[in-house]
Formats: sequence, structure tokens, C-alpha cells
Amino acid sequence: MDDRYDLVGFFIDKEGGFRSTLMSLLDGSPLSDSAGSISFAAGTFALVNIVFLMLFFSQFAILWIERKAVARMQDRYGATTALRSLWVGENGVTAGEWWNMLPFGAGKPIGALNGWLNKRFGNRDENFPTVDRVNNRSWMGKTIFPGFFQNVADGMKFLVKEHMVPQRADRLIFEVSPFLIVSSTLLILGMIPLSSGIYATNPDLSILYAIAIFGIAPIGVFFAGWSSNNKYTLIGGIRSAAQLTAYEIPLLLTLLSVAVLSGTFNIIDSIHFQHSAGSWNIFLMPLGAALFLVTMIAEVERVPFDMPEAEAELVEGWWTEYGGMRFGMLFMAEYIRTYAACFLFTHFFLGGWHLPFQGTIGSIEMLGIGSAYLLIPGAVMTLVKSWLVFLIVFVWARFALARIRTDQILEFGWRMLLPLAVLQVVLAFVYRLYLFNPDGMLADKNASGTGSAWDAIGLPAVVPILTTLFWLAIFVIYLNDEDKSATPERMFHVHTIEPAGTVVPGKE
Amino acid sequence: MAQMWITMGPQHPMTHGLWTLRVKVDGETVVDTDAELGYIHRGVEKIAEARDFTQITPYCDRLCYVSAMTWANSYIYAAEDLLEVEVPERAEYIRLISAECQRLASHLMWLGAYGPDIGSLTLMTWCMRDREMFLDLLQELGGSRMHYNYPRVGGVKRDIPVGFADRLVAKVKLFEKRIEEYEMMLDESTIWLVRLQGVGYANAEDMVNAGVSGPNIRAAGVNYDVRWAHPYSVYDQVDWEPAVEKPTSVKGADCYDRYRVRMEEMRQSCKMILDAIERIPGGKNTNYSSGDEMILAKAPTRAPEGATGFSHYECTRGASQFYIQGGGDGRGKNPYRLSIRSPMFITIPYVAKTMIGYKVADIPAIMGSFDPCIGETDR
Amino acid sequence: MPMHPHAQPNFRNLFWYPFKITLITALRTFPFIGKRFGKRLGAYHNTSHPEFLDDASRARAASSAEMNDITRQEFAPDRVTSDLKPTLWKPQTVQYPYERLEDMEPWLFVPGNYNGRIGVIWETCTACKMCVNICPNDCLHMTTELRVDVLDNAEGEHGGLGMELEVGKFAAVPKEEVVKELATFNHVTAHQDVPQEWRFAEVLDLSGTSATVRWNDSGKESVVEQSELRTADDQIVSGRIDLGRCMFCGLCMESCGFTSFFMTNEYDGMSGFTRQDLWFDASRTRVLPSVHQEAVDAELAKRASKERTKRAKKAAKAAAETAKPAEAQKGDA
Repeated sequence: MDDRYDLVGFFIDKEGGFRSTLMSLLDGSPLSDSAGSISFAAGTFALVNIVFLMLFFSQFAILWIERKAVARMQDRYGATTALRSLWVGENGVTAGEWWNMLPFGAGKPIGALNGWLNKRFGNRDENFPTVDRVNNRSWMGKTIFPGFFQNVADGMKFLVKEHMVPQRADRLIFEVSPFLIVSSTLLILGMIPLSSGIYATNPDLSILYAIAIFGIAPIGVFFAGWSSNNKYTLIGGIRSAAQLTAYEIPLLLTLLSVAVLSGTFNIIDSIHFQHSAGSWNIFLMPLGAALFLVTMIAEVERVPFDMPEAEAELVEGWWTEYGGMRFGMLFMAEYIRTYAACFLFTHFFLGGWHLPFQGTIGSIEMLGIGSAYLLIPGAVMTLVKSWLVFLIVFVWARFALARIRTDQILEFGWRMLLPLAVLQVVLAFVYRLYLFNPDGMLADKNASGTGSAWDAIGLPAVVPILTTLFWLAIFVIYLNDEDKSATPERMFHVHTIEPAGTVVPGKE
Repeated sequence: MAQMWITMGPQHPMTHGLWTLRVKVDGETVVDTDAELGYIHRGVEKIAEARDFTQITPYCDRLCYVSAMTWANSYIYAAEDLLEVEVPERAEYIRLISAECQRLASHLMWLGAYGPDIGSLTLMTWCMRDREMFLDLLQELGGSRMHYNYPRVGGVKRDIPVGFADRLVAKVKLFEKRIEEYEMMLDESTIWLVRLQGVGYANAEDMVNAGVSGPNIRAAGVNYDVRWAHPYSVYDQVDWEPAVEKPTSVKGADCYDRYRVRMEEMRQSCKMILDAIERIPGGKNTNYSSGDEMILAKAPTRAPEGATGFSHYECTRGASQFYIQGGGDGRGKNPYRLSIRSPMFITIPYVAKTMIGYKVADIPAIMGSFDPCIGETDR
Repeated sequence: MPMHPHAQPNFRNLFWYPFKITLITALRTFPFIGKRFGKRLGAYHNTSHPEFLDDASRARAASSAEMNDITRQEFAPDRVTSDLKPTLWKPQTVQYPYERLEDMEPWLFVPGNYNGRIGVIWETCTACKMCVNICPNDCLHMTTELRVDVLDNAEGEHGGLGMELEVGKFAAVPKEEVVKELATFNHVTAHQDVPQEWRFAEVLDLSGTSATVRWNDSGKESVVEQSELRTADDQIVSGRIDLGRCMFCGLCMESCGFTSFFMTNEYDGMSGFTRQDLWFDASRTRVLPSVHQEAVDAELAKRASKERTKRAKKAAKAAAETAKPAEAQKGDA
């Protein structure tokens, strides 16, 4: 069902508010011939910027969620810097009072504003300048979202760091690879819809586009690793290339099964399908959802799959030689890819912007509950779902598990995930061909209520319920199945050239 | 593909100290290694030739700073052997308790560094949190959290404070529950197991030939713990047993076995502490003043030329030995020669060869499982 | 010792235990939820542990409260301690400087047990140099400084036992405004040196009840009443400590047989921007005022009684001397 907040219509449609206003403004002026094109350009520009900024700034929320959740799991508080610290000066000690350095005294009004903010909201203690600084950095007194702007500050810190190119590095490739990685990542953000009416662009084959864009980054990673003229980065780059290639294929097959099940390669249409057919995809293909999450964690190189940038051996892996904002942008790019992965999961499996039981609750007439429920913006729902996915899957897995070794990662990808992905594709075909009932689809996208394409034997929603219960049962059985007397059979095989103990020093 | 040398260190997140490990890799497989030590050589043995026996104790704390109390104790036993001093029994009990608390703190530090090496970042904070309990205990006893300067020739500096025993028992019991928490996180985690099992095999016979000692050989099935084999202090009177792990493979002990040994050693240390505090002569709630004969015996301060003292002690990382020759400056107030045998100095070159044949990613796993401390290596 | 019974790399261990234990740890850090899960796996800081505290440690904490009492330090933000909320479960972090460890665990920093900043009571120091000799790192230096000795400054029952003014030696006059300020000065909280309360001068001439002095600070001469002057001695022992070299081993404290040398419980406040800032001279090695006052009073009483005995002996000897010739005279006659 389409969301009621329709920014695309507002900015792009000829009858929408923005374009019609602009065209009527330009009427009668010398530009009235091209009023249509100008308004289209302006509308697109505005829309793309708004959507991009919404996506980009909501990312700070997940950075904050990660830091705080990690801290709680580690039995500590996490970053507690207060909002106040943004406007506290340093009593002239450091460059904190940067406004004084602007020419022609242009910084004076900023300084005055800073002083007023300090007086009004600061937590000052004029007698003791050192205490002053501590008080204003920290969470004592009133704070809003302690630690939220720490990430912003960290990002800004990268701007002032040294930006260097190693002397014998391949300069062109070294400088180009961050561009590749970061720009491809931002391209993904371009086509992620926040709701049916809030998106920057909606190509017909957006699922294919998503996976294709995800696949550009490994090239950039490999370039970065090779061109830095550093053995650590070389190993990191090669590991990364191998790992990302290995996990692209199960990812591709999983997305293929989503596309097959939904009957379309368009993200927005697949969400319409989920609504019109009557169930979110996660209940129809739980195996695919699990596969998607695992492969996505490997794609964005987070623990447990972060061997390419493993601190312990490789310092920063293929990022080692980058400094300054390049490093900052690469770091940001990893989080943007993670965020994009959360969004994609939300759209493909969790029904996108649809509120839970939207059709059922939305049609309750009593007390206006239905219409009140439908007032919740779909974009908010998408964001909340993505944040929850991020928290429960990405963050929790990162801090509960250790790192898997590269050859074990590759073995896992090729030998375990690939067959499962193939199985999922087969199941998707079976579901679509034999279990899907086209008569149960809602014809009108705007109709409330969910369809019944997955009913069977006269019972509603039989297919998703049975599927979920089946896979849940398998999960529980595997969880509890432990043959205590069996000798531990190692899941992964370790091959060594010559194990230790057989080498006699001095007689190699 | 050509083989290349990679230099890990001296500044590297993995190395547990300041040293260089150069590895020659063929793709991802390690083909050869080369260790370079000596970055924090401070000349403790030479400094000791210009210090009194009491003044040397704070330097010995700083040999292995993670495990300071055991090294100070180790030196003091050698000095007592040299000066022929009889130590009162209460002081021996206090030394045992302080050494075992320090062993717990040191093993927690090891685990807290080992976790992030494998990738489990949560473990670092948890271990530091629990180590705080023992650091606070040692602070009450010795006066500071890391370098206590607590043992004296002939006893200890001061007695246990009143109420220390209750806090000790409560914290140790809390910690015993915490060990289960760690095992839930680690032993019952597939990823930890696949990283540690089957990696870094070290044969018992090779290790004994190389001179490795401590938890590393106990992981390979060799029942050699200096506290058990040549008991000093009152280790033969408290109820404990050494943690020896029978490896599951004929190839020797892997990283998992060494990890298990240290976890079991932590349990044994808890047991020892609980037993010792009950048996301590003079009662656990009495507090004798400093210098009282119950905790400090009168000791001579000079050793004639020709006198020697030797101690064989189980430090956290292996068997440490001190050898002192008397007759130095000041008519025997300073030692003529102080010689320190550091277990890690012997182990690290052996470990460097253990890594051959495994992957680059196994290097921190193997290195960390042997628990290097470069402070004692370089002295 | 066998392997851990559950240590098998299987599906269960992949998903179940690490996730479960991190979830429990995280939930335990939130209030109310923490109380539900926290009992099973106890926490240490920020929780109440009745078994940790006993009467003895409470008594000791109370008796040392003043020594440990940095609550009145105004340079730190107002102390918000977890005593206010003892039963809420929080993360184990101690939020220094708002929460301080000595509040959460009052048995820590037991006086005499903690090797903190060095504190010296110079009035009772006998300059035996034991501390200088025992220090392994050569970080103690003994010097002299110009000061008014305790005995010279005494009034009341111990008054009048000090040294006499001498030409060529020093004298001092108290600065009234500084004396007033010192009444409320707390060196622990002020974070600066104690202001000098004496104005020193060199005695040039003594005649009758007045003395001609040359002031040290201005170099000018003036004539002052002798009753206003106190004798000052420039050979009073003082010292400097290089905290940059000090390893806080405590050997100096042990070697001081006259209990003038202490290691206080202060663990912060010893920082500086240059190495020279770490050279602590005598004014920065002060101990708490009450401890200081007690020791000074004891020393004053001791020296006063010694001086009285000495003068009595001298008077007796002088009387004996005058008696002898009288006797000889008597004997002769």
C-alpha cells in the first residue's frame, strides 16, 4: 500500500506542488518556454538532495546506536560527550576558538554567540578553568543524547589529520581507489527508497542495480591494497578480494530468489508484492533471510568476517596507508554499506515501509484507531526497522563473536552458503510456481487490507506460517542436537605444510 | 609466487610487548620466522650491582610488570637464601596469597589481550573489569596497583589489614562465578574453538628440550609445576593441584589446550587463596604492626664474598630463577652479580618456530596463547 | 584435565552462548532490568556489597575520612557519588572525576598503606639523610632554607625559649594579611603554594630595644623594635623531591625513623607541563593540616622541654661556678 507522504509526487509530478508553483512563477517571464524543464531540474535537484541528506544524517543514529550498544555489552557507558561541548571554547588554549582566526574580524559574531550559549546553557565554573573543560565535555548536568555528536567530532577530526601518499606507492591508483569505493557506496544510497513516495530514483531493475553496485567496491579494495606498496595492505587486499568474491554469489542467489518470489526486479514493487500477497518475505523464506544477513556481514567486512582489516595482524589491512579524510571516508563508507544492507534487508524481507499488520489494523474503524495508525509515516517505519536490524544483527554479532580465519571464511562461503543459496533458489521457484495463488493478489496498490495469495486449503496465511514453523523447528533441533559422546569433528580443516614438532632446529 | 618477509613490530597491536617478529610468508602460509628482542632492555642486572638488597626489590617488580608480585617474591627468595634468613610462617602465607592474587590478575590480563587478538573485542573490557577486583586487593595490601615493593628480606612489608580477609573471600567467590561467564563466551563459542583448536601444536618433548616451562608445558601433559615439584613457601600445605591438560592430539598441545590450562589455573589459584586465608597462622583478622616478628624476621644486610643465593620460583609464565653472588660494593651490601633467568626469554624463540606451517592469521593466536611478556624477556 | 564439556564447534555454540551472555551483560547495566538478571552474575562497582564492609573497615574509613577527604577540594566538580543510588545497577565504569573510587570503596587508600604523593613534616625532620641514602633512584635532595623555627615562634607556655637575635643572623616579621589568609587556607584544595607569612631581614645592629635590619626583599634598611622580630635561621633543613624520578616504592617512608616522612593518600594533583614542574619543593610536600599541626605541637613540646632542661643545667652550672669561688674565698678566709 502506498504511503500517504509522497515527496516524489510533490517534487516531480507536473501537477505536484513544487513544479506547478515554479511553473506558474516562471509564467510570463522570458524563461516560460523552458519552464517545464527548469522546474523538472529544480524538482529533481531538491528531491535528490533531501533524500540523500535524510539518509546520510540518519546514519549518525546508527553510529550512536552501535557505540552505546557495544558499551553496554562490555559493561561500560560508552561515549558520554555532551551536546554542550560543541560550543564550549577552550579559553584560548587551543584552536577551539577557531572563529578568532577568521580574517577581518568576521568571527566576532560567532564568538558572541558562543559566549551567550555558554552563559545560558553551559556548565561553567569560572574559578577553575580546567574543571570548566571537564564539566562541559561530559555528561554531568543536563544532556541530550550523550555521546551522539562524538561521531561527528570523530569525523571532523579526520579533516585535520595528515594526508599522505607513500613515496613508492602507485600514486594514481592509490588516490583513485577511495573514490571508487566511496562513490559506489553513495550510489547505493541513491536508489534506496525510504517509502513509496520518498526516493531519489527508482529504476526498473533496482535489485540488480543494488547488487551490481555492491560489487564495485571489491575492485576498489583490491586496488587500495595493491597500490599502497605495503605488505600488510597487500595481504589485506587479497584476502578482501577473495572474501568478497566468495560471498557475492550466495548474495546474488538470495536476491534472485527474492526477485523470483516477488515477480519483479524493482524494490518498490517487491514491497507492494509483499503487501498485496499478504505476508512479509521473511516468513516465506527464512533461510534466505538468514543467508542474506550472513553474506551481507561478510560483504561489509564486519566481525566475524573482518579478516581483511584485522587489527591483530594487519594493523588496518588495506586501509593502513590512508590518512586524513580519505581514511575517514573509507570508514564512513563501511558504515554506509552496512546501513544500505540494513535498508535492503528491511525492504526485501521485512516489508519496507509497511507498518506491522497494516492492513488489519488500518481497517479498524472503531475509535479511529485505524486511521490514526495509518498516520505513522512509512519512512519512520523503514528507519526504525533498519535500526533494529542493525542493532540485533550487525552490532550484536560483532561484539559477541570472534574473527574467523580467512581460509575458514572462504570454506564457509563456498561449501556451506553456496549450496544453501541454491536450495533457496529452488524453493523460491517451487513456491512461486506451485504455492502462489495469483487470485489472492490485491489489484489496487492503495487498497487497505492484505491479500491472500499465500492462503491454502482454505486457511489464511498457511504458507508463511508453515514455512516459518518448519525452519524454526529445524533451527531448534540443530541447536539442541548435541551428541555428547562423539569426538569433536572439526568443521573446518586445517592444512599445514609441516606441523610444529616435526621441525628440528638446525636440521631444516 | 615469491615469498616475502613481513615485519610485525616493534609497534604492532598484536605483539604483547615491544619486540619484532619477522615472518616469511608464501601467500598466507608462514614459512620462516625470526624474532628480535631487546627493545626494553633496561639493564636491571647491572643496576642491581649498585643497590642494596632492599633497594633491588622495586626493580624486580618492574621486570614483568603484569605479574609484579611474583617476580619480587622470586628475587626475595634468592636474597633470603643468600643472607640465610628464616622467614616466619605468617609471612609465607601472606606471600602465597599475594602471589596467587597476582597470578589471577596476570592471567586476566593475558585473556584480555588474547581476546582482541582473536577478534572478540568484548573480552578485553570484561577482563579489565574483573582484574580491578584483584588490583584493589593488592592495592590494599601493597600500596599500589602495579608495583608494590611489598616483600622484604625476611618477610613482608606490612601485615594484611583488618577486614581484608572478608573482602578477599567475597571477591574470589564472585570471580569463580565469573570464570563460568567467560567459559560461556569462549569455550561455548564455535568461532573461538575453530580459531584455537588445531592451531599451534607444540610437542611436549620439544618444549622440554627447549627449556619451556610453566602453563605452556602443562598444556602438553607435562606435570611440572615448580610449586608442586619443588615446593617453596607453604605451597605444600594448602589444598590445590597443578592444572595439567592432556592434549587430545598426539602432535602436542594446541592453543586451545594452553588456554584451558590458564583457565584451570585461575580456578586453582582461587582455591589456594580460599584455603590459605583460613589457615593463616595468627588469624585472618589480626593485624600485626610493620616489623613485628610475626611478619618480618631480622635479616643481615651484608653478604660476604663467596656467598651465593638461588631461588627457583613458579612465575606466571614459567619457572624463573634468580642467582645472586654476594660480596659486591659496600663490603657486601650490594650483590656482586644478580642473574635472572626469565622463562619468556627461553620460550619466545621456541614459539617463533612453532608458527611455521600455519597461516598468517594464526600468528597472533599462537603468540598470544604462549602469553609473552617482554618486560621479563628483556630485563 | 579434560576439555570443557561443551567445547565443541557445532551449530549451537555458534549462535547460542556468546549471544546469550552478551545480552545478559548488557541488560545488567540498566536499572531495574539489571536487578532481575544481576543477582546470578554479581557485579562489583556500583552495587552494594555488604560482605565487603565490616565494622573495622567502616571505623577505619571514618577515622581516615579527613585524611582521605578530598570532597572539599573545590577544583573538582561537585562530587556526585553512587552512594546516592546504591542499589541501581549500572555499568562497572567509575566516572572519574565525578565518582571517585574512595567513595565507592572506602576501605581503599588506607592511611599508611597507599604509596601516594610524598609528604614531609619539615619541622620534625632531623636531617639524618636516611631517606636520601635509601632512595634507589636518587630523587631526594636535601637543602636548607630560611625559616622561622618552631621554638622561635612559640608563644604561651613554650615561649621565650628560642634563639636570641644576633648580628649577622636573620630575623623575621610576620605579615599580618597573610596570617589572616592562612587561617582559612587549605593547601589541599587551593592547588597553589602556601603564601609566605614572614618577611625576612638580616640583622645589622642591635642596640637597646631596637634593631637595625636590612630587608631581604627590598634591600632597604630600617630600624625595628626587637619585640616585633622573631629569630630566623637559614640552616633549617628543607628539601626537594624529583617526582619525575620517584617510583613510589615507599622505602624512604620506611627508613624515616622519626616519622617525618610520609606517603600520603593523594593519587592525583601531581601533574605538570614540564619536567621542572615535577620537582616538588618543600611547600608542595605538605601533609594534611591536622596531621601537621599534631606533629608540630609534639615537636614543639619536645624541643621546649629539651631547651628548658638545657637552660636549667646551664643555670645550675653557672650557679655552681659562682658558688665555687665564693667557697674558695670562704675557704681561703
